[in-house]
Amino acid sequence: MLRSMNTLGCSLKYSGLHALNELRIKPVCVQSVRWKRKPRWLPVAKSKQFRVPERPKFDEGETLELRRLYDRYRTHLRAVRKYLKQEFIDLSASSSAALEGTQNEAEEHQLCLKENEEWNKQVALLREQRLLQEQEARRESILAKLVAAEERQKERMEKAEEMVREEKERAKFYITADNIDKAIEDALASPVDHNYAIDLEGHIYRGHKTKPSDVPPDELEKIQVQG
Amino acid sequence: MPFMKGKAPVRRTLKYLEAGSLVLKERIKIFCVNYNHHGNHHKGARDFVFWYLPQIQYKNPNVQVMTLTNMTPSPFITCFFDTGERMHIDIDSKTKEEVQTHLKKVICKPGHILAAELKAVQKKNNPANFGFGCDRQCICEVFGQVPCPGLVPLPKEMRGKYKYAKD
Repeated sequence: MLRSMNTLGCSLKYSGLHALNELRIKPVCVQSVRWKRKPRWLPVAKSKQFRVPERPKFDEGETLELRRLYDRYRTHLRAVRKYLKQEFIDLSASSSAALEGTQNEAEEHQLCLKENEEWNKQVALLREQRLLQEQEARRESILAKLVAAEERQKERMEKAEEMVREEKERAKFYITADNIDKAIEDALASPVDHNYAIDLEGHIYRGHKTKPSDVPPDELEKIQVQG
Repeated sequence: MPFMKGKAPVRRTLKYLEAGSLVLKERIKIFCVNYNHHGNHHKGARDFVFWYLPQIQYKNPNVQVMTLTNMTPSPFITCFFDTGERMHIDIDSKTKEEVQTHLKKVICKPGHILAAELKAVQKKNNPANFGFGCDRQCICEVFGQVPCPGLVPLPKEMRGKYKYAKD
């Protein structure tokens, strides 16, 4: 008995006077409690063994009035909540109005796709025409280039032939092994004298010792310009 | 000037960007333009990208706007929807104005929806509003209005229990 009192009495600190310890206040009057609640393992007290709890008595009229008021209040509240719920459902994404909107959207989308198809077809036509024109232009330019190339080829061939002809002509005067003796004899027989002088009027004075005063004026030769 | 960058810096001004008229539909997620740098039939596409693409991106910040260059012989626009569907728009030899009008018809929000959205935004931004979601919670916060009865009791003439009391 004593021990149980002690153990129970030790719960002073933990029963709320802990706060007083923290604040370091010394209250003048301290009232201690034996315990807060009877533990469940203790048997019923002798004074309480045959206790019959008194049933509360309610006034009929009062209860009816109270129930009427409560019913009225709860009905109103339920009505408001249902209304708000319905409003929320109407505005939500899966409502019939929203679904109609999406159907409209789908129809509009199809219309837009069709219009785009039309536009694409027209643009395709334009592109085909442009490509045809470009093709024609390219064909013509290629033909022109081919013709020009042919002409150039012809010119080259002509030039080459002319050169060959000229060479053939000049080949007649070439000195070969056959006519080298004759050529030497001709060269020795006809010496060319390069010792001459020319004055500003174009008169030639042949011979390397000839002075201008040696040649009389009426016997002067004019230099022949070889064009 | 340090902020007049690029060939036509007017494209970077707020006024120009706000003036964009191409607001794409919500279902469009990607807007892709294919064009080349050379070629007369690509000129319209090039001009469209140069002048109108900044406006499109400004008005549709959540749409991926991209350009692919020198990949195909003819220019076109591809729109990718959230359903996975694609829409190709051929813009061969079309001017930028023609492209813009066509896009407005085909992939932009219709005029009445834009007007409704504008109205909603204005309603939201109206500084005269008070309540949930606005700057002022109650009219009692405004200087010159009846003060909050929680702080200053209302005069008896305004209180229901005195007005309707039957003595």
